[in-house]
Amino acid sequence: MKTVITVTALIGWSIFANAVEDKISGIYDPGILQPVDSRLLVAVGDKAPDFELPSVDGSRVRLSDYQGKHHVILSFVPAAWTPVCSSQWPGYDLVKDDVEQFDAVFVGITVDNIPTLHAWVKAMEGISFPVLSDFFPHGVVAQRYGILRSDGTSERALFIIDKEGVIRFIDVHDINERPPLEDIFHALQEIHESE
Amino acid sequence: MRSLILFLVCSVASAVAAEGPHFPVTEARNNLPLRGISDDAETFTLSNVDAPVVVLVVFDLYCPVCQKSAPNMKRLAESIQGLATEIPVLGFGSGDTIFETQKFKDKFKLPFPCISDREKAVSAYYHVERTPSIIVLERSGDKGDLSETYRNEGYLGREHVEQVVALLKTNK
Repeated sequence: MKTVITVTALIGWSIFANAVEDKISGIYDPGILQPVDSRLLVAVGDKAPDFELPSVDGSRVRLSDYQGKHHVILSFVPAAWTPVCSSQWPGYDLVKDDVEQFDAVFVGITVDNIPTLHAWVKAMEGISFPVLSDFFPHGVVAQRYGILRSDGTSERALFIIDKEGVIRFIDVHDINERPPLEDIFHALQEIHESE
Repeated sequence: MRSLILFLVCSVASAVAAEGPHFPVTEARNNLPLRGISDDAETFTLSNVDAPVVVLVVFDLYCPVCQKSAPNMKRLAESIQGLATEIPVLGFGSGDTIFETQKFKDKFKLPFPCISDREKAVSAYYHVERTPSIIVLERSGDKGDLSETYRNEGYLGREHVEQVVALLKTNK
């Protein structure tokens, strides 16, 4: 009986819960998607595939530029202007100083083009870490990491790459959900303790 | 038989709905004792809180408008603390984990207990459509139900803080 009540209550609440968001105008809701739709090509302990991509700020960013200086929290989100993605990076921006205490920086990547990312970042009231476009050749970086989905978007995935360029943490998350922030901090703490 | 089960499920579910969502006491006791809730209670509902007025602040760490509104959330709580009557302010991290909720509280030095509402139960129960949201609930009589007397959804400005404080002063 308790289970039935709990399920009933959860269904009711989830209907309302899905309606709650902070209303960035112009968001497109693709509905519930297959949680993961790709096959990972890297593993913890591997050297992270290097790449160079254009950033929204006009510069080009190379992963290896961070080597010896910072751990990199690489955050792939599936697409600009979609609900979960639009409420992920603003949270990372808020805790940017906290991850810097671990000598870490966020780098965001999507497969969208620069003009789209520019407008989206502006709608999110600005993102202060590098936001990179893996648009052309389409999704080539996502493909090298094994997180390019069959519809051309990327997975919602986090990779933490240490100062030596080695992958220390991977979370290819259910695309429909936001990864808990504490997972990043736990991983950074572990890296810090191993240093 | 099926009708009976359906009736029982609906009755109990509506009883749960009328009482409102349950939250862990340990989280709420972070920095403020909640009157009306016994020391050995593991969970509480808003109807358990022994106060004539309760102010709810619903936010999400990941919401840029909530981040922008946070200084005014703090201002609101401080203004309420300055009133003669003790009025609990409770924050709810809508969709946020305990860690995320605490992070938001710490970042903006919010002087009120903030509780993780991972399943967005408060938002569902009070039909909150946007974050941040401020809701003032007032009790009718000593033991009456809490009913809503003020709401602002979206950016929380100084004018909203003034509106809430004026309302609470009027109803003192």
